[in-house]
Amino acid sequence: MNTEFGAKKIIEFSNGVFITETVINTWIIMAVLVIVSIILTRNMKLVPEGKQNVAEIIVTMLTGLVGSSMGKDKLGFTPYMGTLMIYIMIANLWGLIGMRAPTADLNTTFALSILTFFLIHGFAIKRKGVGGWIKGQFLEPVAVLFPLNLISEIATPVSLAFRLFGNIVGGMIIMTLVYGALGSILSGVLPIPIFMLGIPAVLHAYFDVFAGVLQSFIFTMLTMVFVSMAMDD
Amino acid sequence: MEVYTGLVSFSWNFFFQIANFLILVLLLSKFLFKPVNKMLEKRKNTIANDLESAANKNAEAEQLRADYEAKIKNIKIEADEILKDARAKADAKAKDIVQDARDKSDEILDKAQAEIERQRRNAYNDLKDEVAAMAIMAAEKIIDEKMDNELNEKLVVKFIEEAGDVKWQN
Repeated sequence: MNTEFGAKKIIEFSNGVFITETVINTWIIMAVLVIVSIILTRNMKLVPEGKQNVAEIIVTMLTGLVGSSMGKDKLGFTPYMGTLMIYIMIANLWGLIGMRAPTADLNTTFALSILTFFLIHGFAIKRKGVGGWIKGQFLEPVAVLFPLNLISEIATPVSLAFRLFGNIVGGMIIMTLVYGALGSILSGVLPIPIFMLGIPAVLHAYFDVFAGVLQSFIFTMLTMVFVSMAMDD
Repeated sequence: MEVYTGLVSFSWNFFFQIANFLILVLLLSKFLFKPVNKMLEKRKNTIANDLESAANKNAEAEQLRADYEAKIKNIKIEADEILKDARAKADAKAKDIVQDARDKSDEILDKAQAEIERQRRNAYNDLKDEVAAMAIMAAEKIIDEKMDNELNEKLVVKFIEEAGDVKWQN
């Protein structure tokens, strides 16, 4: 049984910089998503057929979600928010095929939440100017609350990153422990670990499928709400 | 050699993941969102155009129908007029012809009557002369006495006229 829960280093350069399986798996996910996208949107016709319907349903659903939670004037965020949701969902489900989920790594979840942090403040400044941004984000409802607001703004990306990371890494650790426990039952008697068959599927459905899809939705929804709240008054 | 990283540890992979995700956003934007949105927009425009052209065609057809109906109505009125004209003309012509015929027949009849009258009068005069001469001759023979021709003739003509008028009229 593997007792190391950190990401494995795959490539290590002589200057100490290394690439972990998190990044490798992300590359694989990126390749899969791009290839699937190209296949789905190839030969699109005015009257949709088969795979084109799938692509259109995905895009219109994401567009509708962005429109309803950010407002119709911010539909330009659809590619970013859509990609965020698709990527986190696939990354969370990545554990199902026996590979390490890229989201079970703080480097991934913090990368995403820092991007959200920059989106929040970047678009607040772009929309309202520096004065409006400081007033809206830090001096509301009264200027005295500035320290609390500052902590709140810094806490936003931290909580986003740790929520996703905790959910996925927790599921991963529990599943590893469950597999270890099931494998050890009557291990001296049975020739094969028969208890590892079937029983983990129920737990996978909860920890990977349910929690994974839910967390991708939560992360994206919170990002959309924070960004649109910062942009609007 | 250390193979595993710590579970909660940061490394350069943080920046790699930021770059990876931004690249993925660009790639999906180019290969998924843009083409699908383009197609949806195109479909929307096509449907709008189709609906508009259908409405235009409908209006056009309605206009044509109204035009044709008006034309047909005009044609009916015109046909009625032509028919009425023709009938009036025919009537007038028929009347003319009948009048002509009547005039001609009247003329012929008048001529015939005049001729008959003329002939009758000629015959009458001839006869009168003859009868007068014969009467004179008979009277000469009977009374054997030469009478004054002029006086006798007057007497005889008067007599014949008195008698002949009744007789000729029968």
